[in-house]
Amino acid sequence: MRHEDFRAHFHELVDGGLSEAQRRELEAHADACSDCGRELRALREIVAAAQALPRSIEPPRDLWPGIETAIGRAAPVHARVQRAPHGWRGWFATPAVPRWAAAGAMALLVIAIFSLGRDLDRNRSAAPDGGASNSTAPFPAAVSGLELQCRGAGQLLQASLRLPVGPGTRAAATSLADGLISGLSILDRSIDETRQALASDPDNPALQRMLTARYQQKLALLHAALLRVETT
Amino acid sequence: MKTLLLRSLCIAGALGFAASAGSAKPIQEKRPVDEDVLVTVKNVNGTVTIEGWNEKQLEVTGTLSGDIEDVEISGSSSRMTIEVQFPRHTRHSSGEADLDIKVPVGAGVRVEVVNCPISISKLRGDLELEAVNGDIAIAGEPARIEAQTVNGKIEIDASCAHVDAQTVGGRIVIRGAQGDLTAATVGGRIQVTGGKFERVRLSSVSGTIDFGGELAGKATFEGESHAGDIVLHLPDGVSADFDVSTFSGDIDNDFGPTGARREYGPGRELTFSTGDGDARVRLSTFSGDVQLTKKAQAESER
Repeated sequence: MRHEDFRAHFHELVDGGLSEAQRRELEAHADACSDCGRELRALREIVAAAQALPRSIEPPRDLWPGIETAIGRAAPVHARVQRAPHGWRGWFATPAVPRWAAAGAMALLVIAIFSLGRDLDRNRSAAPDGGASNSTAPFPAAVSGLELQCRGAGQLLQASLRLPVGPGTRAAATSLADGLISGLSILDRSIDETRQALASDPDNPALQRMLTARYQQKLALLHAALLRVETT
Repeated sequence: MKTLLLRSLCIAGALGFAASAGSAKPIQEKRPVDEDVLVTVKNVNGTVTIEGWNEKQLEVTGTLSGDIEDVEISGSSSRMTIEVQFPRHTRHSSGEADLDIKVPVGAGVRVEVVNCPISISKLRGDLELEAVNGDIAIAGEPARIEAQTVNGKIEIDASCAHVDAQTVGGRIVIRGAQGDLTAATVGGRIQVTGGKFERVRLSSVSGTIDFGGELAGKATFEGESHAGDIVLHLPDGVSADFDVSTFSGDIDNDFGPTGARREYGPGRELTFSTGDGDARVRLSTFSGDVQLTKKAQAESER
């Protein structure tokens, strides 16, 4: 099995939407491949942690300045706290980040990971040509969801960058900063422009698709940065 | 006095350079491996150069500098990992590892680096390459390429039927690929030349997309950009259905109509067919322009 085949069914594996044979095949790949196995374990830990959380957690509104500050600093708050072998687990044990914040962010990322795929699949299957249509427009509900998910992923990144790190992670975080800040700035600008355009032309399906695509890219960028910092 | 001071500084500098150069530690390791071995390479600072050769051997040469302790080579003949080792309990490292690696031509290669350019050549296996701050250059005939870098550029000069290239800020240049291509960037430019493609997905936020390949009979082509222009250079006799839309950009079409303005709001839409309409081309931008140009005959035959 190839990595991309595994990743295509990654979330269904955790979500329980696969046949027994498919599940066995994917589990076998995760056992043989250390990277895929690590990602699977991490996601399962997040899901387990998220299930234990209170139902309503409000994401902070001013997330982006926090990310920028955290990246700029890229320094541990409490150097004596040791990172757990799998970084996700360590966030619950460290005083470097308020426990509720890390947990809330993880819950949001879980929502992000699971609902993103579902929303998009739903929109795709509902539209006759494989794309969005007026009747199945992803705006505003799905876009609001994506926006929330981006906030959650950003919060996770912010938390991750504040944890004690080794030289590899420190180098990764520092190097990520330029590209990430620049990329997110471009994406945020394009999101603002598209939102403004939609305000004057709310039924335009092309604009709706574009806005969704921008949020997807933003989420993917934040998620990739997180994985990068976590696995370095 | 000034001359004396300058001379002292020069001598001190030279001694410092000599000491630094002297601390570079050479490495040379060899392991027997299968011809389709999967090799994983992890490095933080330095360079990673991987070349295929016709031997069932993995060879690692190069130099380690600064506080890099060692390069750990572990695994079995079917799966090897090469990982640069930092001193334990260190949070800062100025060390670099320049790695020159030779693997069998059929090997699969995975590379994860931070501040390293990656260079790959003469390989026929699958490649998965990931850098934070480094260019990625690929030549040869790999079966599949997945390449991602945040700050660097990706340059693929390879005959490959499955390419997936992604950057945040760097440009993506692809020559000689064919078949299935996905390329995405936020701020970079995407440039594709040569090759006959069956499935193409190109996406950019602010960079230009410039495609000069050919479309196979039933090909699908999707190009999407926010502010970047999309430029397609296609052969005169291309057979395709085109569906083009832009919110505030312009459409320039060498193949016929230039599109109608939307009834409400700015922007243009254009739908037309050429030949038997075999391939399907779908392009959309927010403010970027779309240009459909005819490729010169000589260029198209190259």
